[in-house]
Amino acid sequence: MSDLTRRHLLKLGSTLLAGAFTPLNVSAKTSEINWGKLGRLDYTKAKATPTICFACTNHCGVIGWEQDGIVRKIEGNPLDPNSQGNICSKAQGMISYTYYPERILYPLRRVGKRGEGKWKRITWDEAYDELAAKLRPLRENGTPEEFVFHYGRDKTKGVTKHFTNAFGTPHRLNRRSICSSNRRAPLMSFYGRDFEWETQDLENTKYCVNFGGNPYEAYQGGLFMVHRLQRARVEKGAKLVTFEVRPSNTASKSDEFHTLMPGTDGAVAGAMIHTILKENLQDEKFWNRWSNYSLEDLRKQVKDYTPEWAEQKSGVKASDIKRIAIEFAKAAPACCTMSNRGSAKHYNGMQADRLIRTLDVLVGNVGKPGGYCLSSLRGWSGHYGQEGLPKLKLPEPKASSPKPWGLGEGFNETAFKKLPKEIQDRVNNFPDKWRKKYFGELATPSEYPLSWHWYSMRVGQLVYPYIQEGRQKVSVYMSFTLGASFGYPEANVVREVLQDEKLIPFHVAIDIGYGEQSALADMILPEATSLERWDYHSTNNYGLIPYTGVRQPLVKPQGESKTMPQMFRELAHKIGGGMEKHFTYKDDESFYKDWYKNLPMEWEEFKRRGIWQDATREKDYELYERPLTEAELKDASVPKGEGELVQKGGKVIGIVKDGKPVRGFPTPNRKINVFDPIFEEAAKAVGLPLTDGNASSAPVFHDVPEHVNLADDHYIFSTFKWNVHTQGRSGHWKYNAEIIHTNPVFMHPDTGKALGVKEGDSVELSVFRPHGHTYRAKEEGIMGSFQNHVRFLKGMHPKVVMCSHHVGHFEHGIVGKSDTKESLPKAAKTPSLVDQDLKGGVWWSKKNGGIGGGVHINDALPINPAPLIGGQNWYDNVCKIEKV
Amino acid sequence: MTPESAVQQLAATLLAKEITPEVLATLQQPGTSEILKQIEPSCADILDQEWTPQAFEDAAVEFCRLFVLNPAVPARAAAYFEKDALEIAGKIQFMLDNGFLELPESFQTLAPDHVATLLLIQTTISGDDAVQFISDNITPWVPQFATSLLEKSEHPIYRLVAKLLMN
Repeated sequence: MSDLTRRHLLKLGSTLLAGAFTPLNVSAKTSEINWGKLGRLDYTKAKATPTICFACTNHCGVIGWEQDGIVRKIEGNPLDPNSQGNICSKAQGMISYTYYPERILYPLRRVGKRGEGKWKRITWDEAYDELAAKLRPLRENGTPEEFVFHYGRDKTKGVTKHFTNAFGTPHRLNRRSICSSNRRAPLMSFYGRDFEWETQDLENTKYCVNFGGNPYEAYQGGLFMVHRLQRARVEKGAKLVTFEVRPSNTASKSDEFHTLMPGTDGAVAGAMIHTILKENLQDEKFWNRWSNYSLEDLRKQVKDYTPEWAEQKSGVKASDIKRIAIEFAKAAPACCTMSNRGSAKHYNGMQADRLIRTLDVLVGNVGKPGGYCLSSLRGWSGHYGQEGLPKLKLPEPKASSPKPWGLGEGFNETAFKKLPKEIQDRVNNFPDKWRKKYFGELATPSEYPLSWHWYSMRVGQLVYPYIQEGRQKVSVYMSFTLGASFGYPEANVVREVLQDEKLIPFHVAIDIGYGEQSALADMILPEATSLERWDYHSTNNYGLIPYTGVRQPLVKPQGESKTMPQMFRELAHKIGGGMEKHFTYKDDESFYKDWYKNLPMEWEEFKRRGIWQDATREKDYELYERPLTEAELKDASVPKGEGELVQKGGKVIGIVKDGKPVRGFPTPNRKINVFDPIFEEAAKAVGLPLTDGNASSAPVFHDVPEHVNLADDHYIFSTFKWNVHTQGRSGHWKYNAEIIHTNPVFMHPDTGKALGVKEGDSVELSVFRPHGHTYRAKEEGIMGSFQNHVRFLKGMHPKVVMCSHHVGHFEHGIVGKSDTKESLPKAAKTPSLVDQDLKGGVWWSKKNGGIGGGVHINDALPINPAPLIGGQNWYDNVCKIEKV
Repeated sequence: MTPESAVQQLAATLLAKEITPEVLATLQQPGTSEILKQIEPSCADILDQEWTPQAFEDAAVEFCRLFVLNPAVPARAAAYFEKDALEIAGKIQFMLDNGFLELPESFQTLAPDHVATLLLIQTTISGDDAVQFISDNITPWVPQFATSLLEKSEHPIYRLVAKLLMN
């Protein structure tokens, strides 16, 4: 600094002091602080606070160790009956995303063009004022539906719904179809709305048949399942058999792993049913008592599903299918199935899972020790299986739900009449049960009635094309921890829509980090992380005794970030017009304390433990056989006849078995609906030909249309999840990205040989649109493509190639972006951070001699909703591969 | 308060928040502005003229680009030496939580390892405490921050701040 001398500075300082500069009012007692190195975590000084992990869908009870105001370590909470003190590497990611220097800490307002990357800081008051000024007229003018709230991850257990209900919009959109609606629908069809997820008793099982589930790596509940299953295997000799297209962690660690052709899990399950019936190994008593389908009809349904036929379809040897079916049935009732995306994320996935679910009913393992159990899943407000549990309810004055758009009372005529005539006609022809639930095309897409028949699963991947098509006018779009513009299929369409200010006049993004979604916003509101906030937590317990836990803050929200309850409380008051009546709590802790007020435990003690469970409660075995209590039977009409329904207040509450009223299953007929006419009814309502397998009322195997007669030079491209990552949310978590930061194209060495490629070679992978009755089906030509390098993996199905989908970010800072400039879309214009730890790029960047970051693949994956239900068929993509 | 502390507080103020009319008025004080122009000649125009709302907004956008969103020059110790920075942040947070540190309002929502906070604390201490504090918390990274700021800033005011820090 040649021209800057100490004299200059002294003169400047003197001038400042002599002039208008007012010294800042600061007081610091630094002499009290030891500024030397803190060193390792000191457990004698650190404070341990139990909370709930938010790094993936498991939500394990954890303990955070905070020292001097900073969370330094995450450990498992041994009081959590689900995780039993276990955690995985993702949990440490919470520290990573709380303290990374690129975290959004202030409300921001776009300055340049949308997507240009120019922002300025604004105050919360400015943010609320602007947002309220845009929202208030929608509500006052009777067009609240033009406010669209769309979340990726929402564990506020109803706070956001409380807000959208109070506002009056039905548009609280989610990502269920991206994730799991194909596999939830069969469960709700079989067992009722309360059981959209099963709870196998894996600790006591003797035999588990897994159709494409990957709990050793990534699965809702996976961590809870795996340590129980491992104990059963190691200590009791239980057997795990896996059908998979690749050697996943689960497949690799199974006793048997059978590689199968994608989309043929249903054929294997069908052949197992065929074998069990042929060998007469079914539990006839259970089937006849609880199934709504006759064994005779089932025999007819599966008569052609021979193991030899299934071998033709799947590639799994007929002798193995036969043997596994027999072993499975002989282990009953201590046996269970398991399935997830591997079986369900296909055009035929819904029916495949119905066949898999049928296996459990056939051998009578449902609700039995070691079997396929069902345990309380939804919030504790008196649902099935929650008898005797304290009721826990969101404490605020409840806002009523918006009025339906279908015909009948509360008909939202204005909004309905804005819809294209074709849609109005379709809805007008719906049966009453659907017309009364219809809320427009974003919330209740009329072509996919099963996506909202049981509850609002939506079809998230169609939200943006539908907005583009003008099916719904949007005035204010609010995305909340949503990464659609990175992680949805045809993510380029998402970005096109978000970029278009005519389609989305105002986009406010609520998030922790600056990802691809918030980069296309007009305003960004910083959210507190899971280590800084409260949440109510409940999920199904694989120990089969319900429990609840509390997520609680370990440290204050950094910067000016706020929790959702605080944000919505303050925003509701700014909007006014009655919204404020629903948001009266003074702070987050008092709100959650009130929520848990019925727990038989003092609040401070609950906070100290983080978990509440009545461990003396009977396990959730055979809930359906439990007699209705005297209180439940009071004022109920109890018929005498076997199988007749017990009713109370117009609702079915049980069924007569052996002359006594018992609970049965929470389905309308209190039975297990192996046969369900809802599928045919939905098909007729939307014009899906009844020849399409999805329309079948009985479980059926049908081919994935585009997989039939697959050309020799065509392959099936599929995706998968790594154990250290969680969807598109973790690519910028430094510690997790250090472990997995790239996503090569995995293929069998024989596939590589056929393609003439070696390991490490680059290939271009081009994907075609699907066939069948789905979005833009059968459009000719290549839909999208990307380039990536090849890794060989024995155990892969030779017609399958796979990439993970977590990495390849083009926003989310230096870690998220890694070294992916070659594949960077033009939209990304934000500068990279200069980080000492990451100076010159992350160590795995190509310029540092590393392998580089991953490749964004989602622009090349077609939107492909399964008929009727709308779940994205992630694993059906037909592609061709060329060496680059 | 010493003259050095006054300069440091000015730098801290400019790094904590976007330029406000009040801060600009301080910079444009006769005498002060003359010295500032000697330190950073490119400031001459903006110190001589009245700022339009657009000028304030341009400065706010540059502030955001430099320090806030995917910051070109992150103003936090965490960006320069992560593990030690957590210790700095921890200690500052501890001081805030336990009444050992009281900050002006515009500093209260800064990340605890923010350069502005550290500079401000430095102005309150002297002697061995100051030597220790600077050695542990300022010297390891603020010079690098200042160099980077001088290089990447597109606004004269922030080049000026960089030069103030580099001395």
